[in-house]
Formats: sequence, C-alpha cells, structure tokens
Amino acid sequence: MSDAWYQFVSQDLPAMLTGTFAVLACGVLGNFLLLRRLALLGDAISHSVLPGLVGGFLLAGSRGRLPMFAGAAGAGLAAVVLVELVRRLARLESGAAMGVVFTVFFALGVVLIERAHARGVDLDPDCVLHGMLEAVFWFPPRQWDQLLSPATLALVPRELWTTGAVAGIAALFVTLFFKELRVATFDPELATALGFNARTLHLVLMLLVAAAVVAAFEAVGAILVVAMLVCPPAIARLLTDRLAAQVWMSALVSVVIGVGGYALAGWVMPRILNGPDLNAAGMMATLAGVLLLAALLFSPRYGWLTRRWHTRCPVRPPA
Amino acid sequence: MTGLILNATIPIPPGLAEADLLRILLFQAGYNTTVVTVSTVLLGIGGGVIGSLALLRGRAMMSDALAHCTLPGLALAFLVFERFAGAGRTLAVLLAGASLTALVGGLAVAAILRHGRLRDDTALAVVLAVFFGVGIVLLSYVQKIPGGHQGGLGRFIYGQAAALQVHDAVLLGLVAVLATAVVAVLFKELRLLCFDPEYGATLGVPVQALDLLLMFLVLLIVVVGLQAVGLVLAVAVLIIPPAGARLWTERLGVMVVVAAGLGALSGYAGAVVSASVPHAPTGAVIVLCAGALFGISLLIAPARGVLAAVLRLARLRWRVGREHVLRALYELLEADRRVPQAGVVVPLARLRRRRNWRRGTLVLLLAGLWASGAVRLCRVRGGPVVPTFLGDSTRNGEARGSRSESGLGVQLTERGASQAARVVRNHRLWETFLVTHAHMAPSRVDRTADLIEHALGEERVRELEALLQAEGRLPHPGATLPSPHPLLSEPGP
Repeated sequence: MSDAWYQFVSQDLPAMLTGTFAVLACGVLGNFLLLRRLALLGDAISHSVLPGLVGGFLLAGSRGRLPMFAGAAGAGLAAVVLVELVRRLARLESGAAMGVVFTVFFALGVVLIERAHARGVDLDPDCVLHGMLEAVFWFPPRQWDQLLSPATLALVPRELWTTGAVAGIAALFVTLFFKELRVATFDPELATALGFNARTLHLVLMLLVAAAVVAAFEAVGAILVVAMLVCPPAIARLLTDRLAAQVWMSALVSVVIGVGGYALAGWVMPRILNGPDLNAAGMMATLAGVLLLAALLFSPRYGWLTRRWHTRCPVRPPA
Repeated sequence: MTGLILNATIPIPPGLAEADLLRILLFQAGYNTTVVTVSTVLLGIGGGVIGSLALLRGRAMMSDALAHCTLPGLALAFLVFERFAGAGRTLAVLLAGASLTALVGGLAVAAILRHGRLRDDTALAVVLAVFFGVGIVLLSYVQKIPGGHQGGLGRFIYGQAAALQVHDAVLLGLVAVLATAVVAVLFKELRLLCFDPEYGATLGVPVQALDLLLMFLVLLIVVVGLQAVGLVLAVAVLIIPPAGARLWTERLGVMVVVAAGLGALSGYAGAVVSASVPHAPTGAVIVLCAGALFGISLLIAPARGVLAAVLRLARLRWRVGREHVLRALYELLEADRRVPQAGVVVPLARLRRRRNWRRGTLVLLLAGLWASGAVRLCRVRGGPVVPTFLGDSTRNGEARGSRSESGLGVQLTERGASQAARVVRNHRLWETFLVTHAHMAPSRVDRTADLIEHALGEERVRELEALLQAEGRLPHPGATLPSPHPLLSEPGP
C-alpha cells in the first residue's frame, strides 16, 4: 500500500464514513421532525445533551463510554419532556419553551465543565461545537489483503461503529414502520383509530432522535447536528411531494453532504486556497446550505427561478 | 468523546470570605467587578424589554438564529481586517461583522418564509445551522493561519464577562436606553404588532417596517450581549426573563417592566455569584439565575403560575362541592313534600346517598358549610318514618318505611336555606331553559345543568328569568321553578 493510499484508509476513510453515517442517521429521522414542525427540537436536544455528557463523566469519574452516552441521552430526553411541561404549564409557544429549557441546560453544562476544570479535569467545550471528526483514526496493517481480517476490524474506531449502528437502526426503523410513521405524522387521530398508539411511536422516534444526536454529537458537534437533522429533509421536501420519495432523497442528499463535505474540507478547499485543512463538519453544513440554496432556486416545482420562468412563459393550453 | 477531555491540573483558588461577598453585592468589590455587574444588569434590562416584544410576536427563536449567525461575521471581519489593516481584533470591527452576517441571516429567514415551501421552524433551524457551519469553517481557517490562534474569537462563543471594560458598559447602557426609548415611543404600534398585526395593518401601522425594527433591536441586543454571555447563550437574555414575566401579568406594559426587572436581577445575581464563587463563568451563571427566576415565577406567579392555578381550581371545586350539598338538602326536603326551610332535619346517610359522596368528602364539605353558618348538625332519633308518596331509597337492606336511620342529621339554617334556594333556582332556570329552548330530554338536563349552574352570573340569571317570565313559565323573578324531572330518579342504582 502506498503512503497516499495508507493515509486515505487510515485517516480520511474512517472520518468520512463516520461523518456520513452521522448525517444519514440524522437526515433520515429529520424528515419526521420537519413534518411535525419540530425542526427546532433538534436544536434544543443537541444543546441540552451537554450537561448529561459532563455529568455522566463526572459521576463515573472516568472516560467510560457508557455513562457519558447514557447521561447525554438522558439529558436530551429530559429536555424534551421539560419543554413539553414548560409549554403546557406556562402556556408558552413551543419555540419560547425550547429557548428557556435548552439555554438553561447548556448553561448548566458550561458551569459543570468549569467546575470539572477546577478539579483538574479539562473538558474542552469547543469540541462540543466543532465536533472531532478529524480525530477519528484507523490504523490497519499496510497490506491490502489483511484489511478486512477480524484483528484489523477490531481496530476500527468506535465512533465509526456507533454512528454506523445508529444510522442502521434509524434506517431499519423508518423502513419497518414507514406506513405507521406516515399516518402518525399526518393524522395522529387516524392512527389511533387504526389501532396503534401514535404517542408511543412518537416517543420511540424521539428516543431515536436523541440517540442519533448523541452519536452524531461527537462527530459533528452540537449545532451542526441541527444542520444534519434539518437540511437533507428540507432539500428533499423542496424537490418532491411524496413522503417515500422525500425520505429516499434525504438519504441520498445526506450521503452527498457527508462525502462531499469531507472532500471539500480535506482535499478541494486546501488545494484552492493553498492553505490548511478546514473543519469537515462545518464544511458539511456549508455544503448543505449551498445545496439548499440551489434547491430553493432551481427545484423543478417549487424553485424560485423555475416559478418565475413558468410565469413568464405560461404553458399554452392545448388548442 | 475522548477528544473532549484533555488532562490538566489547575489548582483551586481559595473561596472568598463573607466580607468579600458583601462588598461584591454592594458594587464595592473593585472597579472591574463593578463594571461587569453594571454591564450585565444593563444587558438584562435591554434583553427583557426587547425580548418581551419578540416573545409575544412569536419570534423567540429568531433571536437564537440571529445569535448563531454572528459567528461567520466575527470570523470574516477578523480575517479581512487582519489581512488588510492588521487590526483584526478591534472590537468595533468584529461587532460590525457580526451584525452584518446576523442581518443577512435574518433576511435569509425572511426570504425562505416568503418562498413558501418551508415552514418557519425549518427556516430558522436551517439558517442557524448553516450559518454556524460556515462560521466554524472560517474559524478553523483563522485558527490555522499564522498569527491567528482564533484571534480571541473564542470569547464570543461562550462569553467572557470578566473582560468587559468600561466602554462596554457604556455601550450596553446606550443600547438599553435606546431599546427602552424605542419601545416607549412606539408602544401602541408595537402592541398592535404583537397581538393583532392584521388589524394594525388596516389602521395604517407599517407592520413590515415594525417587524424589521424589532429584528434590528433583537440583533442589537444579541451583538452587544456576545461578549457578556456568548453567542450560544445570548438568546437566553431575550427569552427567559420575558417568558418569566409573561407569567406575572396579562398586561403588556407591566410585562415589559417585569421582564426588564427579571433580566436586571438575573444579570446582577449572575455577576455577583460568578465573582464570589471560583470557576463560575459569568454568562452561564446569568442564564442559570434567569432560569431559576423563571422556575420560581412558574410556581408562584399570581396570574399564570402553577400554584395559583391549583389554588383557583381547588377554590372552584370547594364552592361547587358546597353548592351541591346545599342543593341536595333542598331537593331531598322537596321530594319529601316538605317545605324546604331552615330547621328540618335530614339524616346524614340519606344525604350521602343523594350524590354518592365519599364519606370524607361529604364531612369536609359539611364542615365548610357549618363554618360558614349554612348548616347545623344534630342527632336523629331512630323511629318510624312517615312513608312518603315517592318513598325512599331502599338500598342497604332498609325496608321502606320500616325504620329510620338514626345517627347524625343535617339541617339548614336560615342563611343556608336562602343560599340553597338560590342554587336550586339557578339549576332549575338552566334546566328549564335547556328543555324549552335547547330541546333536551328532561331526563338528561340534570347533569348538563350541573356543569354550568355554578358559573351563571347574576346578569345571566336575570336574563333567563326575564325570558322564562315572558313565556309565562316563571310566576315572578326569584321564584323557584319546579324540577322538570322526578327528583329521586338520580343517582340511579
């Protein structure tokens, strides 16, 4: 294996795959958040995860994976429940309720980090925002034929396993329960009448979103999780009216964003600017924004320019 | 999550003495602490005033989007000026850049909404995340160019209130004054914008211009708040105090003042706590204080608080329960063909069966009535009961007319009798109205009337009386109508 190939396999490939899986998991689930007008809930969850991460770490007293994951998921779910509680008790609109809850959670996380700092543990809050995609490495042997041996696969970074597993579970869930999700999203009463519990399904969805956010969190960072949750579905929604097509399209867009964003950050932009590598997660969000802008302008049906074009030369009625 | 943690050893500074805390509280703990405290209080006031209007306009999360949109501006301003003027760290330049991209972000949200396909929450989330992503990319570039080292831009993300200087305090003061002045001058117009923009538009209020103005003011608060609380938490000063204030009042003017007060208080408390406790970052502590004040408001606020709501409900149920007892007594006497008046004794057990009260509930309600002087309790002697035409309930193995219940009995006082008469009158008025005007079956009106009779006001009662009197169903106002259904048919076995 040449040096260039080895660098690709050990550095770029795992990071790119991790990022892509993270985007995929969030992007597929995001469809249902978007349609339920819960796009900002992803924002709320991803901020609220912070105190759970830090708290899990401080309680367990180690970098054990499970306590931090459990703490993060717990904090995310607690935030969802609290948002609902505040919304009902204080009779606030849901945006304001989210604003109250997630800022308090995030502030708690920042304070906890500082306290941990005081106890001699340095948790870097920047990673929470930027993600650590560049720190995902894989060191396989340099021979091509040993690349897929069990011993080598055991070295695959666990970030890759986690995001891959969550993406797989999300895809499986959406495929298996597609009909139920569709009914529960557009008509919860009908869902209840048909004999399955829309609330339970909603709860499972929220659980998966929380898991996807936590898993994607370390890869792409808190706020970029929001981009991953919202942008692929939003782009797909501009392109189609059918839910099934929208989900497939959002998955495709997610892969494009994941692979393309990493390529732009790691290879294309440094060559163009003749400068250093750029932040890959941020570049994925940027690429998502560019794609969204393109969809807003050129979507065959809903594009701004397309619509203007059609109004300028209206379709002639058949003679 | 390994990347999240690096090891470091930092000694814990010793805690402050109580005397220090007192000095901090009284703005006498040195120049810097005073500047920081004054700044955060001013920020709290400005945020509370503007945030109230943004909240009521339904734009609470708009401030979040704007705050995140400042990041690319900060980085761009730094890059541009570092390259061309070599003065990237000038605060004014950075804040100008921040405002510029925040403005672009706000316009982008508006443009997406105008486009029409994506809804408001999606538009906000998309703009927030994409702009922040661009900001992170630019930041990673800044970090890696020679002489970059993030250019001290990190302090805008989490805030660094300790670095606030006197000109920052002046800036915050100016912004707070400006915000208050604008709101005071345009109060009527802004109120229309918040509650009924369509009506406002018909009155000639420039709704779109006001929306833009509001967005501009939010942006101003966010940008000047960056240094104090950071861009992730800047939104908190605009959302939490107004959300808390909303719980205290139903009036906009009062709400704005209360929100400013809560904002100032959380700014003050946050600055004091972070100055007296080591390793407490000011911005985050301010947000936590604001959150605590919100929690307290949610509990105890008299207008919309949880405790007040619980109390109101309990008081209503207490009144309704006592009215039920009075009506039951009245109707039992009526069913016995006796004049429902003070002094006639009804056995407690019989009263209880009337509505199937739980024993404890009935005792409590009777105690309340007794305390208000509406009923008296007495002993009932056992003995033969005069059989009545309709008879009595024969449950519990009682043969009809054979034995009376002995034990406690209840009698109405003069006062109770008149109260009971009034309750029954309202009940019957509504029942009769339902039968004659809503065409309900007489057998079904009792429960329906039960739901509404306690809420009938004096005025509604007079209206009903006038209506029924005009139709010849009511002999004179104040008369008690006969029941449209047999009285002892309920509750069923």
